[in-house]
Amino acid sequence: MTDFFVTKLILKLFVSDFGPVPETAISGIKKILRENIGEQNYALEVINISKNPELAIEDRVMATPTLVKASPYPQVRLIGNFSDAGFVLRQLGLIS
Amino acid sequence: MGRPTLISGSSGSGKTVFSLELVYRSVTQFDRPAVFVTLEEPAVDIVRNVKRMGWDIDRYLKAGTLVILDCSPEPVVQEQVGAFDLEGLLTQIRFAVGESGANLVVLDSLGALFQQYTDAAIVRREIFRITQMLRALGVSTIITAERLAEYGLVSRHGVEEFVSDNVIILRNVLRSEKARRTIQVMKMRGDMHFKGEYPFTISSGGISILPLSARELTQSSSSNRLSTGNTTLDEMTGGGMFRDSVFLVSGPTGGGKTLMAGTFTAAGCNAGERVLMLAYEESQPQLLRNAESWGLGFQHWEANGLLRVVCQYPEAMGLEDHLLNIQREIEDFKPNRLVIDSVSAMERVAPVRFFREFVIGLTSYAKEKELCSLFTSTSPRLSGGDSITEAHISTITDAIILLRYVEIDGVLRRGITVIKMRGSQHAKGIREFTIDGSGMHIGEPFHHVHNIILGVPSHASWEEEGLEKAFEKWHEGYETNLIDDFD
Repeated sequence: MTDFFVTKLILKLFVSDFGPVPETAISGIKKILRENIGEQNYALEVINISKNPELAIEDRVMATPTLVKASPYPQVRLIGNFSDAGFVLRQLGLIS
Repeated sequence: MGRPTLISGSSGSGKTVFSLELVYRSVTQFDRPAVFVTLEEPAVDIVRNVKRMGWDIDRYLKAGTLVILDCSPEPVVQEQVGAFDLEGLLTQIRFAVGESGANLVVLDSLGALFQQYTDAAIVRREIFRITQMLRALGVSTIITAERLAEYGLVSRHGVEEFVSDNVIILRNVLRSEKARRTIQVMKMRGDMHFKGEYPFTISSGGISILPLSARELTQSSSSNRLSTGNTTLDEMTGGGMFRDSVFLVSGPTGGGKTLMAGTFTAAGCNAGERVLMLAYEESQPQLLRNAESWGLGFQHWEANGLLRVVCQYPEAMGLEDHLLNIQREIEDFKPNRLVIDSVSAMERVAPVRFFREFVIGLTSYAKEKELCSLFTSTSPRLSGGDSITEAHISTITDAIILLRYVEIDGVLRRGITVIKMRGSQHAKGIREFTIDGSGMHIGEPFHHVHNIILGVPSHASWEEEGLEKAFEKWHEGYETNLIDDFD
């Protein structure tokens, strides 16, 4: 299964201090990734826009939480609390 | 401050341009930084459109006093998995306002959020949060909203008007095959405002609102008189036209109106005055040729800058645009005299009510600028009668000169009379005039003829007072007519 990921999956997760505790989204997405594709095959950068608002402008983030698949191409954006693991994986192109 | 204003309109009604102009003026004229949040059009398109209006925004963008936040939909796959909020958007706005010190934030358009995010309940909640935040920040907010019909619900999603204190509606309505833009202030909490729709136009300089009926008659009046170019007519009007007066020359086709306009123009140019002539019935070469044939040196005056002739088809644009165009020409050329040949040609272009607004706007503007103005009007019948134009504009004009055909013993002759001359005595008689290569020659009053103006002239060989009576009768008739027609 690990051979399949030729390019490493690069993800950015944008969260804010507002609303539901960002930790839920962060731990939720980490759990999905760990259980399905393995730690070594992805890099996840967590950005708190309440602390770095200029990054929200730079990446044009309007909704939180937003998960951006920066690489491989094409870019995909997921918004929400990632409650549905299957849907998240499908959208990221990890399962069909 | 801190009060959200909603600008609502159907697609293409000018919401974006209107809000952009507010932002631009805020930044350039009032030194108040502004943030423009575009939720529909990409920022590059906004910048391009602004530049097309002739506004240089690059230096304000660089200086950071004008911020455009690009929140338009991106061409990437975006999926929703569970609940979310728009804290990203709020953060962006908060940050941009903080950095630029903005006093004004425009959200164009909030309704676009409903297209970007499928969960309407969340979007609604977030819209309330955005406006609350903006109130708390103490900035003025402009929200644009799309509506589906020109007359109906204020906005498509019905949320925007609840978060706004003030509501402005822009319309773009087709009437008589012409698009007419209007602006209406529907709600202005705690403030007085003009009610009703006012026409406006969008051109390269931005938006121009024309509150025609809101104009007040505050023009100063002048007792200086200017020559009409015809000495006999000067006598008939008691010494010529007042410098800031508007006079109407009404006559049937071929009746000598254009000649009179030409003579008036020539009198101005000969006296070293600047004359602006707007022709809506003839092309420029045609007009110049005719003028030369009467011995009027239009080309010469045009060359040395005393005369400007503008020829245009009435159908070329709507009346608001015509009015704006005329105002621009006047601003630009700064004439002493204004000639419009003919005002009645404009009747073709628009419904009567708009035409009247146009004439009111035009005359009040001409008076404001202290222009001695001559308008011509074509009467529909060869003899007698009056036209809609006259009924609608004669109360606004200061003087009226009628040119009419008179049939006497099977021969068509021409008659001229001054029927109104505000603030001055004038000759009451109907005089005969002829036109030849050297212009118009006014001769003696008609004798023994009645009904010249009223309709069918008839010969009265011994009733000398008949003419007088007919004229009196006509005068009364004219005035009652006016009252009837004028609502």
